[in-house]
Amino acid sequence: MFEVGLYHYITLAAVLFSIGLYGVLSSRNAIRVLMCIELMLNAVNINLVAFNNFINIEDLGGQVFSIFILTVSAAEASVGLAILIALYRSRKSVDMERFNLLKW
Amino acid sequence: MDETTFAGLYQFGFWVFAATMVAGALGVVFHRSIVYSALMLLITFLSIAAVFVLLNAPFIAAAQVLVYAVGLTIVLIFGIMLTGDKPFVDPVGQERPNRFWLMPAVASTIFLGFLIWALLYPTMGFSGINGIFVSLMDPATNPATLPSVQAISTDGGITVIGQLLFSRYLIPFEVASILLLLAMMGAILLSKRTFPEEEGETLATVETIEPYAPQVNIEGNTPSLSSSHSEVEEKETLGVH
Repeated sequence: MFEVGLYHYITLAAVLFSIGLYGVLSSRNAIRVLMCIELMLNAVNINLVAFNNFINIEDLGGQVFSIFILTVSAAEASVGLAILIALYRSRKSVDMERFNLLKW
Repeated sequence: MDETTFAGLYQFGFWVFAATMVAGALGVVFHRSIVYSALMLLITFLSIAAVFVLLNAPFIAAAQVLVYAVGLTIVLIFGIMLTGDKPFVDPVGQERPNRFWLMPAVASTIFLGFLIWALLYPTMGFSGINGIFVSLMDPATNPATLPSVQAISTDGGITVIGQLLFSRYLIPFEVASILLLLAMMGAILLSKRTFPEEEGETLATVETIEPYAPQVNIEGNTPSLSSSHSEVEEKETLGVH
């Protein structure tokens, strides 16, 4: 059990993903929500690279897919921060509880 | 270095970096100051890069350090500095905690329990549904428990990754470039500052002024007033002739 294998890496990624999920659901600061989304994407990256390493090390398709996820998360962070700054201009806050314009 | 020492170092490194990663992630979520939580995020990203090194992916580790630990953290800190928020922060600069923490905690705990159960399920002897996981999780049938002993190649797999990016994954590669371009344009468009009163002025001036008049205005704003006027006069005389 103490020999580190695929199971340990997947469990680590699951723990990281759950921490990120809790942060996304419970944070009040919108920038912290962005950080937690990055944590979740990183957990997915760990899963991809771990499966690539333990299943088929000759074919590096998993690492290539983690590069794509890295690209998408960079784009997501830039657009998310732009949306946050636009929201901050209109609402003068980044409090998630104040973004209630569409709340019924 | 013999095999057992290497294996011991490998496992020690895994547990150390796993501990720093989980501690950093908990700090991101639970620290009350947002700047400190950005620094915790940096620690988490560096630990994830170290785990990528343990997983035979040194190129992904370098990209992780470059993109996440340097670029994204700096962008997030810029975002923190640009949005100084007063209303839900007490005077010391620490956030007041959220009232709604119970439901997210329950939801994420159930999610984590489900994931762990789905991981444990094939190894419990129920070899029914997903047989591939049985062969993967069982150490007897899966010999690849120590990946770094069998390194992929001397260049860290960069050659293979480059060939894959330009042969099998060519279309996703191009789509990713288009996505980056669109994200850059969207970020510029969204965060562009707009002044309503100035927009009204420019609209009014554009509508009322003659087509040649803005050129004169632009040249008149330059420091060299006399030369621009002389050029305008020359143009006018040329036009007359």
